Amino acid sequence: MADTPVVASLAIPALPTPASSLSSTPFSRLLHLMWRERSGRWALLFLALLVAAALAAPWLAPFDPARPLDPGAGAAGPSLSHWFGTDLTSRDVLSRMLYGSRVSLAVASLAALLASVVGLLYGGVAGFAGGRTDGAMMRLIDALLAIPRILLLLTVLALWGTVNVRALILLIGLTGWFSVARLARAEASALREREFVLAARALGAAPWRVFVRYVLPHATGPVLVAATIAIGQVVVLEAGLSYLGYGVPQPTPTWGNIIRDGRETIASTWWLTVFPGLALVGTALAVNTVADRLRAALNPRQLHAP
Amino acid sequence: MIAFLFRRLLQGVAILVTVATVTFVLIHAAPGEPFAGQLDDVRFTPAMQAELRRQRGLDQPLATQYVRYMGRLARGDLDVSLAQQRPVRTILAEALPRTLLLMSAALFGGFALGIVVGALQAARAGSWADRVAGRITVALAALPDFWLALTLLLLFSVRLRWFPVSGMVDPTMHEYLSPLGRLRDVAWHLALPATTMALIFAAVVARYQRQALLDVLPDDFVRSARAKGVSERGVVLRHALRNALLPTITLFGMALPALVGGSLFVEFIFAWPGMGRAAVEALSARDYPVVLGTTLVSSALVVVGSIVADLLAAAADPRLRRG
Amino acid sequence: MTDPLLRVEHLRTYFHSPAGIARAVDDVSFSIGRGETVGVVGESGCGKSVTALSLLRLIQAPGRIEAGSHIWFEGRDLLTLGAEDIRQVRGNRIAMIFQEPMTALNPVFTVGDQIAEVARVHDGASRKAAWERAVEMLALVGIPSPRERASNYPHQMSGGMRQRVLIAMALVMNPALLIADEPTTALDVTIQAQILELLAKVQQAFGTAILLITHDLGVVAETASRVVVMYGGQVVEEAPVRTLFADPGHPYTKGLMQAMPRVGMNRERLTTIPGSVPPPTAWPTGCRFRDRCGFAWPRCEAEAPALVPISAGHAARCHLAEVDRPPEAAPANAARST
Repeated sequence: MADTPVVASLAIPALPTPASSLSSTPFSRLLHLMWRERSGRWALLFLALLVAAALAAPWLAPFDPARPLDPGAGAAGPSLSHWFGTDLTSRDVLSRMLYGSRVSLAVASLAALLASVVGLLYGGVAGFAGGRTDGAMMRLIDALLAIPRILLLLTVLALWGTVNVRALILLIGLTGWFSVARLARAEASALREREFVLAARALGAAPWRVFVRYVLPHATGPVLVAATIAIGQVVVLEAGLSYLGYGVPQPTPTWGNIIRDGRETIASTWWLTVFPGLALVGTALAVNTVADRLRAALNPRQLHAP
Repeated sequence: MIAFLFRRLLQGVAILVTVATVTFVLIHAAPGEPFAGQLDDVRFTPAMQAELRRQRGLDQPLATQYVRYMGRLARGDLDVSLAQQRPVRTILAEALPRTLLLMSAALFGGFALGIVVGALQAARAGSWADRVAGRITVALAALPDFWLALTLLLLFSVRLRWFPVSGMVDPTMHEYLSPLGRLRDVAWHLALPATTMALIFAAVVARYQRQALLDVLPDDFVRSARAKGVSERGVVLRHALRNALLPTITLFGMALPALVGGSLFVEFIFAWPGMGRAAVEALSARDYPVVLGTTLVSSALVVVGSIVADLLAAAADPRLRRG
Repeated sequence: MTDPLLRVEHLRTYFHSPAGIARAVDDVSFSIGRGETVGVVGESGCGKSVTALSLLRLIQAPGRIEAGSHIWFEGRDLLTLGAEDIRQVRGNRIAMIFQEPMTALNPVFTVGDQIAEVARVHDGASRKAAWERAVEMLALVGIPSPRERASNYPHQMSGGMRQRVLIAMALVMNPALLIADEPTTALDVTIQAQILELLAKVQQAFGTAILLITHDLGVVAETASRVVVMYGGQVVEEAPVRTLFADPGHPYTKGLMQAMPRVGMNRERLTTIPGSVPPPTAWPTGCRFRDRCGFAWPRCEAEAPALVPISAGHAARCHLAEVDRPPEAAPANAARST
């Protein structure tokens, strides 16, 4: 802008409201809107408790998750000392679940974050660029979306061998950005024609600047909803992979790993399936509810509801 | 219509070519050589290794390998299974129909149940029944499919013994049964895995269908139908629902990749001998040709399925037919 | 009027919502004679469409036709009929056509199918017989190549043609009354003329009574024999068409006429009625038009005017009407209301 002194003093027009834009919605207002309905309240509470439990696991866990407590004994059902029972090498399940929540949530958040960022950028660029670039980029996405995600993961695992946690996060994140890209592309494409974008470009703003300052923030709304849903999906996906034996490597506890431990003896060690399973279901439900409320809260019409 | 179909087929082929290319990239980006497993065998002298590489075309430039790879796929040659020493094509030819059986049962059941529940919900929107059904569908739709499979297995097979625990057929009795008996045997084994998938799918469809019908009911043509003297039932079922089915048909196309993926876990848990289970078992043996083949065939399945969905949509909505 | 075809008495249709009660139709009475064309005129928000929908009981929750309303038709009060009985009246004895021809037709069924449906539903006609009727009706309303056109879908037709299809659909069972809710509003002016001509033809040929709802005085001048002017959910004036144009009795009617642009006017600005229609949840006390009326005086706020007869068949809801005109024998179809 320095080479156009006449317009340098003009402020680029502020982002118009209402819009499904994150930057025009204060975080507290969002939270308040989500809190209003009962289902949103329970979901947020559950998730808050879960995160708190995960963070406080070292203090909350009654036993060492890795320590077999009674080597000869084998698995035992729920009891007063072991609320969720013990597993096949007599480790306390509750403690393993608490520590497991840390891994599961960390993997889910990081992978979802990775997927969202990559998807937002890819889709945003495609939508903003338009024309043939857009078409070609989206064709690739169409193809990638045609591959069932779990099979893509298994293919990579077959070719690369089993992976450590870091690589797993990368892998899950990099297989999850396709639908986010579609979302972001749709938003960016619509935004390209909006007046304030045209105005900014007419004033001489470089395309990348317009992209970063105007297009990205507006596209973030739906992407945020998608990211929230992705967290829930990844928790389930990681559990599923671990259940198959190809997720987080043993002996690190995750909910999926615990279920896996009880896989062969499912008939007799039901607690190894049920409790982590319930945690999974609860998390999935809570996350989906929050995502739903978030979507409603970001809807411009509800932003100004009484 | 023909032009429409032709165009979609071309698009489908383009997608599959891209998918195949992606798999090629993955194969060659992976560490070690694609046949590292075999070549690691101590009995292979360096000379033999070199010979094997030459045989497999691994000494050629990447571009040549790509062309050969695509050519091979175009001929339908999916390589040979490392673990079973059989062509992958044969293995999948056995497994694919079983997966299709499972998925068809799940789709049919899921759609039927979902459409009915969703339509009923919309017809009685706001009532107590609608709200209860709404809670149930929200919960069901969020359930992880492998968890539901495990739970149903635990409950109905292990505890209650109503259904068999695994497999597609009774391993000992099946051959000795009459044709009708054999059908029943398969159906009985199919029940739980299909129900697992159908339940979750039905929940998603119900939510979709309910909203679709609610969106249509205030439309003007519904009012016209009522003003003509069509009964309320005719208005909802004949006029409104016909229009509200359109979004649900597109849902089918969108849900396919998830369905194919979800069937993998269900097959594994119930030991249903379909493609998904073949892939997981191959994985444990690092038998990557089978995994690759499954990926390719599954993607083809998704593409075909979405073309079918588009055709169905065009059949249902005359406005789409100009294609 | 001798034995009217339709007699509406004290019709009240209210919409109950958390925000309040919207009194969209608030004590409306009028009649329609056999083979007569009655025009109902008013701005948006005056309650004319809701009145039309109420006649066929097409009002959906949260709207409700309140107790004390009566709609007499062929010897019965339509508001007391059961669901099955009213269904048999709809499309059969009383038919209705709507404003937006595009959205009023079902996009997934052929035009012929939708017309034939009326015959199937009311006459029990077979598919084939009903289809033949549909083709006949299409020919009747002036659609060229009716047999081919019957297999068309709505999106394959123009707006004017679709409106003809709607008229065809309405006339299948030769109803005694046709309610036309703004049938020409969404159409070009040239098509408008064609449709109005068609309606006139229909009336001549079949003796169908027509209740024509519109905001366009020009349309009314051309087609109606009697006019009912509505404002604020009430009837504010009723008159034979010529009388209405020659000697409007209500300030609102006068305002509407002044607002109509006319050939030969030598003005630069069009006259408008100042202000806008108040919301039906909060009708003003006293006369509902007083905030926009050039003649308002304190009595208009204090007392709601009654429908006062001015001359034969002419009544107006205005205090001025009382003052100016000598009271005369009430016309047979002007109902007293508070």
